[in-house]
Amino acid sequence: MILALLVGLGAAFGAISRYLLDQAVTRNRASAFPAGTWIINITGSFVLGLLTGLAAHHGLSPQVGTVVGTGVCGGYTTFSTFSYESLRLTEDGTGLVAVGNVVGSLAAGLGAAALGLGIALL
Amino acid sequence: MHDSDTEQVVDGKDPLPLDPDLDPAADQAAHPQPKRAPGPAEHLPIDPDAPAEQPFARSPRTRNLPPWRVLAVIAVGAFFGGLARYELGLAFPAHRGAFPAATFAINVSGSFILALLIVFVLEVWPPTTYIRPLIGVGFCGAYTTFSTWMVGVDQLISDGKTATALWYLAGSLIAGLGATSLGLTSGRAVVAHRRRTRETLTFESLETVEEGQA
Repeated sequence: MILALLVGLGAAFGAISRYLLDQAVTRNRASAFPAGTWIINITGSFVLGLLTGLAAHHGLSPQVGTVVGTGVCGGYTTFSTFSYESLRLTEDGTGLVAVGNVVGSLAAGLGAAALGLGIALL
Repeated sequence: MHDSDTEQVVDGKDPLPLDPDLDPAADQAAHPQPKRAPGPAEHLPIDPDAPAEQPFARSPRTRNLPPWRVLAVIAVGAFFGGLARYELGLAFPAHRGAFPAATFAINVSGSFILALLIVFVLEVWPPTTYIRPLIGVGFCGAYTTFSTWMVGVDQLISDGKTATALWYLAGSLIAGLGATSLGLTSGRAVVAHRRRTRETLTFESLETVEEGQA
């Protein structure tokens, strides 16, 4: 019960960070590439990879992992905005940017998560 | 970037913003309240940061800070979004090495909700300041998750479940884009229906006027 509330609060903290960071990155930017969402999703994937690795190999408490991982990282990163932006870029005829966004997000996201998991093995 | 006209809107090619987390103030500027007349006046900006007249003009010192109320509303939506994802994960736990069905379903359903919401907020409902921060940025943003998807794929690969990893990676991407497309299409169908209804009403009222004059 307490854990669920803390997950919700963690998600609220993550979402506010996402909003402020996205606004700061995209403000006065002319490029169509959604750099804000990209940075958010990549950094969040790295942190969640690191937390997952720390929980598996260094005895990080499952409660901390749940609140920071499921709560903060889950609330901070977003799939729906990634999906929306990729589709809107396609509709707009900027297909190359859309493909770049999808490939760039997946490649960097998988790499960042693997890096986090790998660092936790050290 | 480019102007829309009525035909484009009817075609379902109306330029919704590329960034769904548009600033609410810009939202209001892009969609002024009293103008409900059909036609080019209702077109949407493609650039969410377009320097239109700001109805909530603030002092230069605070202009670049989002109002604290917007942040509070985002927090409330995200609280419930994160909670819903957590509870769904407990109800349908993903066993190590298995396809993470809960995260998959969460991401696909959240993508549909966000796309439908954007069309409703910008084209159907009267302008609001807090619905998009509450449900879009807050709830959908926190309900769906990119990081769990990425870490899940990496773990499936390191567990030797390469086929499941690929299914999870490609399946989430394709189903997520499909759900977004379905959400936009559904929303635009409602917009087109309302526009047709309104045009019919206008036409009938004109006929009534002409009959009265005859």
